[in-house]
Amino acid sequence: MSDLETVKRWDAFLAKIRERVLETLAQAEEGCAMLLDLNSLDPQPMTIAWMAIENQLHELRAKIDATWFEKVEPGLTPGESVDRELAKSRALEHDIERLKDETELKIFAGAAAKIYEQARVNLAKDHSCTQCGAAVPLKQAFFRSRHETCPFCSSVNTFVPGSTVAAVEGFCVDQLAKQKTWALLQKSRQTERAIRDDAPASVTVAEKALREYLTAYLRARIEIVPEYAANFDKDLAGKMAFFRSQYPG
Amino acid sequence: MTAPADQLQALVEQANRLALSSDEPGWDTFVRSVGLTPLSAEQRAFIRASGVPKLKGMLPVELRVVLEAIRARFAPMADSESMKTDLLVLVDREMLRFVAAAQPPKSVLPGIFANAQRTAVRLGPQADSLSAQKCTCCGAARPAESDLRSCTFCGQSFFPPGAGLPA
Repeated sequence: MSDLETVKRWDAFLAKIRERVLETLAQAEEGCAMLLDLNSLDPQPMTIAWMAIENQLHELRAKIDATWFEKVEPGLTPGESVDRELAKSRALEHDIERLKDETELKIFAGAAAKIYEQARVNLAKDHSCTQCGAAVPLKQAFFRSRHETCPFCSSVNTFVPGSTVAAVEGFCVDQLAKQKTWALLQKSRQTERAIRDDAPASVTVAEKALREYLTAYLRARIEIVPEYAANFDKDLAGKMAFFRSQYPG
Repeated sequence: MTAPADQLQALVEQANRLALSSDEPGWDTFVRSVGLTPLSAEQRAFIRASGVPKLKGMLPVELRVVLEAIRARFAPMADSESMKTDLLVLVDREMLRFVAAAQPPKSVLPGIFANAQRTAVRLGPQADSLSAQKCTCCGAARPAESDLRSCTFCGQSFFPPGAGLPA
């Protein structure tokens, strides 16, 4: 087979993989939204489905490498064309990763926004003291079990959040904060990738970008759950220490 | 000058490509170029609302009419037996090709959603609850600022021994 014919087939293969990825992601978006609604805003089934979808995308990426090594590289005359054709697969792999990340954010932040909205509605509902029947107003930005004192009879009532309210801390906070700081997260990931590519002075740059992202991310969490403010310094220090343990010196 | 058979093939290819696309203005221009009047948006909406299978692109009936017109135009120009045979089967063959290509995409995620729905573990109660715990001995509730571990009025423990609470 000539180089031209090999390149033609390789291009068609890459286009097919790209098309399959786009179809997968479109169906993932639709299916995950459906699972969320079907399960009364429980994000667990949707999360399980997304893990399987990620796996499928990983297999598609692996197929690119396998095809390159088994069929394309051996079919090309060594030289410039090999590098050019390999670059096409690398570009598609990066593209798949980017599309996956964007879809994941869209699915999960979308679900988080929906759950958070419903949780706020639930907390704003009338709740009555089971001792005297008087209305007990609940704190709005607190999503765990707690004691609430009845303003009328002073009895202590125990509030136990349902699955939607409980999901705010367990699921929504991270997703919504990530969505709000997405650009900074991308920058941080990009600078960290540069370390692996051995770019000079890249650790300092990556550390700065990570600190910038984490600061914004942790503050975005505090906007939803103000109680987290007490742990801001500790959380930031812990995450930065993890980075430094990975890239010492 | 291009042979009639080549002209026919090029025109049929163009018809099929445009019919599969969502380029309505492009399709309408093509329909006019073969001497026909395209359907109006209302006519298309009416046919689609009648429950036709969901295919992408233009309505199959539109392509059929266009292919019939192309066949009629090229019939007098058929200069070989193969072209005459080709014209005989042209409409049916191209319609089958169109319908096959216009099928909506099959699910590329077979079973994933059903499996997730079936196997996911659901935790915790669905609804929020608010309740004042009452003493099992005297029925009193727990007043604010009191020791919440035992009843202020009769001393009964609110929690069974061994519940893992501080003494």
